[in-house]
Amino acid sequence: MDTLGLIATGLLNVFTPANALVMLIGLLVGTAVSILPGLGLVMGVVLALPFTYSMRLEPAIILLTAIYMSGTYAGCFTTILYRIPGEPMDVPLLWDGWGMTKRGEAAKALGWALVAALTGGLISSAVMVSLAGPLSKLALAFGAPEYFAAVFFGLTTVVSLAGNSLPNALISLFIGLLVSTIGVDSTYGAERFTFGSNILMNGVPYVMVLVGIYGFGEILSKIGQPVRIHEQAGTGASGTKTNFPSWREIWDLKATFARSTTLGTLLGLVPGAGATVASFIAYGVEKQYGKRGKQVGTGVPEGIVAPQIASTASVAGHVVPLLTLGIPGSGATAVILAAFLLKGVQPGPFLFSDPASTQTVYTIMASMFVAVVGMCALGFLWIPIIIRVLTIPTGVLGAFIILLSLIGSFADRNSLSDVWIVAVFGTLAYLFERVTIPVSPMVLGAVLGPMAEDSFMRSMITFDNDATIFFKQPISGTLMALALLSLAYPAIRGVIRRAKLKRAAPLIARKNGERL
Amino acid sequence: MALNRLRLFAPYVLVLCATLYFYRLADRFVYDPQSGRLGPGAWPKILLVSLMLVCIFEIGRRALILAGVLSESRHLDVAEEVIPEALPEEQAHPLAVLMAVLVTVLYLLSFETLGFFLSTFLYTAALMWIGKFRNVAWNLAISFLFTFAFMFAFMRIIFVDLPIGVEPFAKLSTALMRVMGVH
Repeated sequence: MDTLGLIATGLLNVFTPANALVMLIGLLVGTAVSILPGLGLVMGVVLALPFTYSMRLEPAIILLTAIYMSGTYAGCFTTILYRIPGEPMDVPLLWDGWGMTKRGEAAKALGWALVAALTGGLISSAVMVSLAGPLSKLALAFGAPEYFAAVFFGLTTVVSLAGNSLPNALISLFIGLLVSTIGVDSTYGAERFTFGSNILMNGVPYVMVLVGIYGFGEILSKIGQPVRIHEQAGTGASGTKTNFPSWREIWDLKATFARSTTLGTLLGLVPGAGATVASFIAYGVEKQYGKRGKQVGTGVPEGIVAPQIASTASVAGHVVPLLTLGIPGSGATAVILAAFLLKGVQPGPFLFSDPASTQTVYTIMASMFVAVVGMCALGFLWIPIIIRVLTIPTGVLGAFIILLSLIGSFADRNSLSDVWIVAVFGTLAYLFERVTIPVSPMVLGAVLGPMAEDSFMRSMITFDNDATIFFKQPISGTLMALALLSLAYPAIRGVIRRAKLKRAAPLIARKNGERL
Repeated sequence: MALNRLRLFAPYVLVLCATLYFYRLADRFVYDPQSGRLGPGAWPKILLVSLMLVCIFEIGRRALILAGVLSESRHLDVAEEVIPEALPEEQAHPLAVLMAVLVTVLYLLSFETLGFFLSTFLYTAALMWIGKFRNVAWNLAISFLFTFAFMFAFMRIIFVDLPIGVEPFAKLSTALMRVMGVH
């Protein structure tokens, strides 16, 4: 069957009662977590994971993908109406969204955000679905060196984009990779870093690392902190309305739509560059190259459209490589990978090898289209109601999330040791944040560690311990070059910044002189 | 001044020491060697050496900055570069965090003795209190509601075998299970 046929059948599958129900639940949950500051969409996906244990593969992944997708949209409501960015990715919406709200144009700002999310989500999903087939064929050509190079590239981009200190990000990454080596080694059956403990013999399940860091740790770092609501007269939950921009207005912003959709989709493909990075970069590009770039930040639609499109578009960019290559590029996709593995299914090119599993993949991809439309529809119906959760005391909400994290992790294997792992990694995440060590590299290190070690060891066995093999093969060589480039990226960026400052120095000095 | 210096170097020195210790452990993995093949310690050792180098680099860099040889150049992350005033997040008070960690440890230690219901009820109430929700009546009511809801969802819907505790606490758990229709 061709791609269109597979997607059409997938769409029909999405509307079977079980799948449609979990889709709806996913959209409701994703919306709820993304409007609450401090509860990221990754946390939403993590907390929903235990509920997928008793589900079949298809509804389980649809649930998590729907949370992921809607998590990129609903935060715009609290950002625009109350100046509370539900997620870091919503911060760029703050200036122009709140700016429009102050001028009494909140409904219009919400309309722009909706059109942006719809456009970004649908176009990016379409692009990625059309790329899924070729990507899976390319992945079939991957041997051990190519897989190692792909994982290495993923890890280096995460490091280069995380936080503001490259050494700190590297430390976090290596600790994550080391965590993944704990337990009995699969090749020799040797015990590694187990200290004779039965608990550590089976290794540290990376799902528990994820739950600890994104669930328990997140709440720990914000415990007792209230949410401050800024409400502009005439707006608010009860008066939340959405006014769509006219076709003419949308047409005037065609360049912004095109630029940001392309950026969001491409950045989604880059491991580590999640919705937040996509949103900030699209905003920055719009500010620099947009027709009304100088006005961005003062309450113009471009400042809403660019980040919203890019963050929603990045989701498909992340999900499709996971399905076709089996490599997660973000925290949320790492959880989705965990859901696959819990069902005994390894995502990747072999999913496309038989018709039944191919259809499952396309049903999941079709669910992304439905999720985009569904989350926008919920913008009218569900958000005005759910926005009231902002009035729930943070102490109550925090306790609920921590309970869900701990009991959910216990439910996986009925093991208290898993809950201890969650508590340890949550506390570690808090300590890391205190000393400005980013935690996302550690998470991806723990997730991708086994894949990195396995492909490295297989390459060494196949090519007689020749480490240069990663640079000799065309695909792996290209990926390794990209990886090294991404590692050098922070340094290059620093040099460019310093050069810019140097160039601007005489101007600044002259300005200061004039002032004096 | 001395405290500031300690803060500046302590995390890296600590990680470096731990790395050295783990390297020694990686050297002593027990396995049957096969000629021409890397052992189970090869991959962890690569990671540990890389980690050591990063720590040494950062300690050296910080020492040079402190000595005035290098100027501090902190590279901005993407968010900060686009919007310098982005993401000003309020952090929890360390004492609140410490208390939350302590009650979590107590919760996990009492989980199997008190049983799910009682330990979770007490834990939830304590967490909400630490989270500054201190209306006692509401706190206890919500704790009861949450614990009951979680017990019902996990035992009745997801079929998870939650601990019922030892006697006399087990009596309470079994009574609640009867109410929920869990056998």
